[in-house]
Amino acid sequence: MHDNSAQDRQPPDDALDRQVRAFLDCRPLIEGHIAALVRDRALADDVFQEVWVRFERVTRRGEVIANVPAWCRAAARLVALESWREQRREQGTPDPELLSLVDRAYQEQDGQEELWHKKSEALGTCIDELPPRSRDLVVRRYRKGDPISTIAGQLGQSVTSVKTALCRLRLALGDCVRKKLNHLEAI
Amino acid sequence: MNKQRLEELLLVWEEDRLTTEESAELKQLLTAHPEARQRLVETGVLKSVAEARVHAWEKFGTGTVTKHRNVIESPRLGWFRWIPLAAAACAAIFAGVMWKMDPSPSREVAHGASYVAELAGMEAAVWAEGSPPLHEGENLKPLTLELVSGRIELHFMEGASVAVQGPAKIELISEKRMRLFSGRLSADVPTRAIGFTVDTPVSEVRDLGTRFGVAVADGGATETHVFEGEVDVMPNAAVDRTGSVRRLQTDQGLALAKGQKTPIEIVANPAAFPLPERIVPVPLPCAGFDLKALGWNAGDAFPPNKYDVWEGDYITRVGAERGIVTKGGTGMLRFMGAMRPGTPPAKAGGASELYCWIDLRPYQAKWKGRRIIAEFSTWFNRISSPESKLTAPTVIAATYGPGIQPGMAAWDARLYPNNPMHALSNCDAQIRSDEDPTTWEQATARVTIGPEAELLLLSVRVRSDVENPADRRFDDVYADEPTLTFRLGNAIPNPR
Repeated sequence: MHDNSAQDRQPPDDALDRQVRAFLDCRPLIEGHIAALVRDRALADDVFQEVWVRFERVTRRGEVIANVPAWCRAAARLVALESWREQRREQGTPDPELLSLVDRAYQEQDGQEELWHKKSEALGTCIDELPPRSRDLVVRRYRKGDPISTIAGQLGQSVTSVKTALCRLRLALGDCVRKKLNHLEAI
Repeated sequence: MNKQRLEELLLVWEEDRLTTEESAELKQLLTAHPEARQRLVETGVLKSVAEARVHAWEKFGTGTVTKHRNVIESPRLGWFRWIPLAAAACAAIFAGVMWKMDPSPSREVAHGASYVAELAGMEAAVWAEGSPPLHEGENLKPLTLELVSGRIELHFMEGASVAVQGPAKIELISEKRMRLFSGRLSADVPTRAIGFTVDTPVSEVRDLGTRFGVAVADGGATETHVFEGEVDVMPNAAVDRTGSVRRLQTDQGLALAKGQKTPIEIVANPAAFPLPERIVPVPLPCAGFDLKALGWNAGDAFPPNKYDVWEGDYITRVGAERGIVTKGGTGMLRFMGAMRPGTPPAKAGGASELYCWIDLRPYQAKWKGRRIIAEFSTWFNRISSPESKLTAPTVIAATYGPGIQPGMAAWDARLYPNNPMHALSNCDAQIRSDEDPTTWEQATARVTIGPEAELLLLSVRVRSDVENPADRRFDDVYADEPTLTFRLGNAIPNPR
C-alpha cells in the first residue's frame, strides 16, 4: 500500500487554522505547565520549543488534535521528563505526587482557554500599570529569572522581605486581574 | 486556606528549593483546595505573561507598547507576543497552501507608521541618488532602499538580524518580512523570530529558525544558502505554478531562475555573503565572582598555568559590606594586596590583580574565518577611606598565537614584541572610579581575535602609583560581574 502523501490526509484549511490558533491561545498555559514541571528557565525554553516542533510535525502530517492543551501537556511531560532525567540523573527523579498535582491543576482548566486568554490579556495590562519599583521586581524575577536570594543581595534587603514583597506583588496582580474581568463582565 | 503561605510555597517551589516539610505542606494544600490548584496555574501563566511584558518593555519602551500593539495586532490572535509564533506556525503549516491561495508577498505589510527595523550598522555605505538620508541607529518604517556599495546591518523588530552587501536593492515590508530585488544578504534569525521571510523576484524564503543567505542576480535568478537550521523556499508563479515547497537544511542551497524548469541544488557557501554581527556571551569561571574557587585567596601573585580559573594576588570574595551592594549576584571581589598576606612591603608589587586564561581554539574552530572581537568588561567600586591612596581600576584583554601556554612567561612577554611569546593584540582599559559606594563604574577592554590567536588573557587589576610600597593600599576597591562577549563580524577577507 503506498502512502498517498501527507496532503491527502491534511485536514481542511480552517481545521489547520483552528489547531494552530488553539496552540497559540493556550501558549501561556503550556508555558506555565512546562515551567511547573522543570523549574529551570533554560530547560523550560528548550522543552517549549520541542513541544512546538512536535506539534508542528504532527499537524503537518495531517493528524487532527482534538484537545490541543491536553496533547501539549502530554508532550511537554514526556520531553520535560526526558530532559530532567538526563540532567539530574544523580539527584533522582522529580516528586511524582507533585507532578501529578500539577497535571491535575492544569487538567481542571481544560475547556476554559477563552477565559484564560482574557485573564492573560488583563494580566498583561495589570503588569503594565505597575509602579516603577514593582516593575523592577518583575524584571528581576521574570526577565532575569533571579532567585529571591539574588534579588535580596542586589537590593541590599533580607530574603524574607523580598519574598514578602514578591508574594504581595503577585497577589495584587491576581486581584487586579479579577477586578478587570469583573469590570468587563459589568460592561 | 492561607493564601499568603501558599504564595510563599509556590515561590520557593518555582526555584526548586522546597524542603521536605514544605513540599509536604504544598502537596497537602494542592490536594485539599481546588483554589490552590487554580492559583498554581495562575502563577504559571503569570510567569509566561510577565516575561512577555518585560520583553516588550525592553523593545518598545514602557509607554509605547499599547500603541505598537494597535498597529500590528491581529484581531483574532489578540496578543502581540504571539505574532512571531503565529508567523512561524503559518510558515510551517500553510507553506504550500497559502501560496496557492494568495501569491501576494506583501500581505503582511504593517499598516500605519510602525517601525519595522533599526539600521544597526553601516560600513562604507553609499546610497543611490534620491535615497533618504539615513543614520546609524535610526529606526526605519517600511520603505525601499538602494545601496550602491558598502554594507549595512538591519535589526528587525521581531529579532532577525540582516546584513546587506551593496550593490543591492531591498524593501522593508514588516517586522518579519523584507524583499530583495537584487544583491545579496544574509539573515540570522533567533527562535523568537522564526518565520522571518525574504521575498525575491522568483521565490519566497521562509526561515524556520536559522542562518541563511539569499543572492539575487540581475534578471531575478535567486540562490538560497542555508548556513545553519532550516528554511522553506517557495518558488513563486514566475517559475512554478504548483506551489511546491523545498525545505533546505544546513549546508544546502537552491538556485532558481525564471524559465528554469527545475531548481538546481547547490552547496551553501557562507563565505559568499555578508554576515550580520552576532554577540555571543562567553561563560567565565566563578559566575560573576559569586562563587568561591580555588586560587582566589592563594595570593601566590602569579597568573595561573591553566585555563578557566581566576588566580593571582591576594583577593577575597565578600558579600555586601561597607555600604557597597554587589553589582549582581551574591558576591563580589575585594582587592586586598599584592602578593600573599604577610609579604614584606618592600617586595610587594604596585598592583593587585587576578588573571584568567581562555582557550580560543574551540571558538576559532566553530567560527572559522569570521572576524571576532572580544569585549571584556568588569564593574568597579571604590570607597574613600583614611588610608585610601590613588588606585587605577583596569581590565586587560590580550591574545596570543599558537603554542603559547598559560602562565607567567606569557604574561611577562605580553608587551615585548621582541619576545616570541608576546601578545598578538592587547588592550589595557583603565578608568577613574568615584568614591561613591552606591555607584559602580564599568571598564571594558576590546581586542581583535585574529585568525592566529589561540589564547586569550583576561585580567582585572588595581594599580597604585604611590612610591612607598608600605603606603600602597588596594582594599578599598571592589570588582564584580565580569563579562566576556565575542562580537562575530563578517568573514575576513570579504570575498566580494
